[in-house]
Amino acid sequence: MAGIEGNGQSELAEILAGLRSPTSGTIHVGGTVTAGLGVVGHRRAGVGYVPEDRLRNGAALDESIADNLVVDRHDRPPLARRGVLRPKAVRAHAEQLIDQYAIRTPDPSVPMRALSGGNMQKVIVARELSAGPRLLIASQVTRGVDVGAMRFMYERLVAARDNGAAVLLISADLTELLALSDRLLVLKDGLLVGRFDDTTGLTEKHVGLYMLGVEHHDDEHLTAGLAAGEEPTP
Amino acid sequence: MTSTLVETEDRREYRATRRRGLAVDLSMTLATVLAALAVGFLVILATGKDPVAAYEALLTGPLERSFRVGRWLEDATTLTLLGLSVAIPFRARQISLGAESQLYAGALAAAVVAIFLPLPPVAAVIVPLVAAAAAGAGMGFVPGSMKARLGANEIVATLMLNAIVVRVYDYLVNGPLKEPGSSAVYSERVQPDSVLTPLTDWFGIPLGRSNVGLVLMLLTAAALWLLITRTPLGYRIRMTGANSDFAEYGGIRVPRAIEWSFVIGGAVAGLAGAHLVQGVYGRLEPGLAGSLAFEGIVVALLARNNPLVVVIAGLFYSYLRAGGDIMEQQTDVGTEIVVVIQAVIVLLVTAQALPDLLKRRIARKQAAHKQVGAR
Amino acid sequence: MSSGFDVVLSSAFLAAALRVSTPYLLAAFGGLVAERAGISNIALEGQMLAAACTGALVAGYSGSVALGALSGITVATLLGLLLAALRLELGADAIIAGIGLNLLASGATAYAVYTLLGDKGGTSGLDSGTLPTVPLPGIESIPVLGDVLSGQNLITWLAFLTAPFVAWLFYRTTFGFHLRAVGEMPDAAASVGIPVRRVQYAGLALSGALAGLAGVFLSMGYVSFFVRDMTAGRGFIALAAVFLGGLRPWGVFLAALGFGAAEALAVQLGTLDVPPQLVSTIPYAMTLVALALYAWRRKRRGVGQVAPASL
Repeated sequence: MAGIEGNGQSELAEILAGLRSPTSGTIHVGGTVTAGLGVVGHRRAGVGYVPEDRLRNGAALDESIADNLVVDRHDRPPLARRGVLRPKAVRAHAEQLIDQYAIRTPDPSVPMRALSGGNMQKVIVARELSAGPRLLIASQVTRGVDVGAMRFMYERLVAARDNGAAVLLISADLTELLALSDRLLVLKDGLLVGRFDDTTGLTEKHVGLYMLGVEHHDDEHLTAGLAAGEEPTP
Repeated sequence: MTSTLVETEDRREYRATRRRGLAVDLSMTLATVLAALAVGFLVILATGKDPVAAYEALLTGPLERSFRVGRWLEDATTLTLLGLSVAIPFRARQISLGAESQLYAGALAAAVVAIFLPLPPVAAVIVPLVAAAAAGAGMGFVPGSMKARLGANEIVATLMLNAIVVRVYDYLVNGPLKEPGSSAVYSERVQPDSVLTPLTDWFGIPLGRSNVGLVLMLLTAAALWLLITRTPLGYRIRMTGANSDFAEYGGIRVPRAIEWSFVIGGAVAGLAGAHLVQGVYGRLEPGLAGSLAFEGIVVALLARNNPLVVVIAGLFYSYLRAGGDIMEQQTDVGTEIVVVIQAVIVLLVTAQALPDLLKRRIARKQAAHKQVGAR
Repeated sequence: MSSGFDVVLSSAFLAAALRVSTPYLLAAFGGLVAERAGISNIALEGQMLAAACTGALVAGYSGSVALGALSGITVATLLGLLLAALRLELGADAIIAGIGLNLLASGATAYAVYTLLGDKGGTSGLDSGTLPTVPLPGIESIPVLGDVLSGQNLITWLAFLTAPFVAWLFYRTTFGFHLRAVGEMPDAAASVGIPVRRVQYAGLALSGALAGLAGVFLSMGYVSFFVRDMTAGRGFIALAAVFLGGLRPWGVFLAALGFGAAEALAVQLGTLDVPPQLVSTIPYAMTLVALALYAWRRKRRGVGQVAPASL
């Protein structure tokens, strides 16, 4: 998903994640219609979301890494049983993800605030991917992230796709999109203006013309292969 | 690769750092209290009184006689319950100033049940307590749901509710609930079975009006600590307070967490009301709570809203209050100086930049030290 | 209810309503200025109390009512600046710092009165006098109007003039524009070169001064002495009026006037067969309902137009 910032990408991501309600249209994830389900319903339907501003809503900075890793699953076994949160299980869960996602920290009880940008983003990606999403919305995953963490994110996103998850990558970095995407969509003024089902040989310059609104695809091309009314415009 | 200081530490180093951080926090708290006491000392000196004699009475007075200890524990029970009652909404970053209304509602509920409802022995103690908790919870629910569902400012809502409930309480004590045939303004006494057993009966030494409410308070604090640290609801309240956008993003129903924090806090303040009725006074009296409701906020603040620490802060602060009264009796220094000390504590505690400045300075020194060591 | 009607229409009630509204108006405008500057001033109560006490004590000892009033206002202004400094320099939470200042004022005034006069209650033993009332020679003799308007305290007149003054300040002066900009979007205000801190300090000083004027009125106009904790929650009610008035000068004016009128009415109705405590809950209950309705409407309309500093 490409587009100059402020053209509806953030809104689209938040609608897909259930944080905003759409004014019209329906969204299907797997077999579930997610309209009106709220965040919990969306998460249950298999939507994962790496938010574009991790400091705003991606993390609770003063709380521990362990607590940040369980926000979507703190009330379910094995972390909670019979209405009681099990600190040992929460800690073990954190240790495991810290190991799997190479999060650099001496201890799961370290507050998020103490982590660098890339490391913090790893915590968020770890949380979202470990939920096993069918759809992962990854918004500006590599913003403010160092090169090492960036490559790590790319590998994980591709691995998630290979495991069968749909990954919606929203980015301001066109190089990143062209390198990772199977299909590229361009958003301008809240509307879908470009669709490239094959990104091989696509150049930044060419996509840039769509982003600026110089060129656009016609509706027929944009919706080819979709049932009527399924155009994902916010 | 850029990384923060913590990331480069190993677990042992990190634990040491954390211990140091805790030590800094603790010594900052102690320094705060000492600084406030020093301010009080200087004020007494500046007003031409003898601060040494005054502080001697203030700091040693409460322990000199057993009934003074009782007076201290009785006050600490109410104050700590009130501190706990605001600590929970504070954890959800809700500034509930409604402890007063919740306490009076609790006191009324406890009194009505304990005076008028004939109950078998054990139930006679427990049912009024439950009624008080429910009434307090109800008083918490009103501003809580107004904030959570509508976004109405909780400070204004709780203050308005205080103004209403205090007046209704005043009316009831002066009117319908006033003891018939008595010229003084108070209600009938609660039934003997409803009285919270005085500690005097347990220990055989005169301990004033202190009662098993103290045990109840300790249990409540432990229960709230478990709630905050060991239950999903506590987790939701904590995350809501830490970053409500994050909580919402994570699928937590933020309004419900806010509502619960108010309801739980209200129930605890209601218990404080029951303690005054069933334990301390044995009946309803006008202005039962005095200024305790606002002082509960101080206790919660001093304890950083940690339920277990609230107990310590409550005991400490009540000690000062009890000492202040003795100081006034024994010297010509007014007990109000304790309120000044308390105010200075609040101002120092909320001046968060102070400890951070200190911590940062220590961290910087350590970093410099490490670099030197690496060379 | 004809007796109730008589009460409302009587000149005694109207005169009382103006008198009772005075501290609410002044304190509410103090709260409004602070709120729009982006720092909630919950210390209105303490600022009023400190001013009331200082005013009565200084006037009593110096024999000069003007000096007393001035000292009272100065102390309240300093407390406003202290709140701003705690917030801006030491990162304190404005609400909690405000609670601290209220406690400080409550303890310090009671301590001062007890230490100086040996009296737990207040300064009734000290002859401190009151600020002058304003006779209106022409209007004095007109039946109802004369009774209502003439002979009101100087500060009552000042209180009513505060509404147009604050409206003018907010919407017609550079300072007012800066103040509102700072309160709504501090970062944007800073980026266009508005001295954010200085504006906030000035706003809080003005806020404290208005609260101080309210306090001075209590001990040197309403009555002629200081009583311990005599503000009796008026600062908090004023704060409610700020929100109820939608953070706008004329809205706040009406809300504060409403509280004053309701309280005066409760006092007047006290002579009838209604329990006065219950009558006096009416304005608070109305506020609670209004607060809910206001929030509900704002929520339905989407985002609020003016974000209060405390949220």
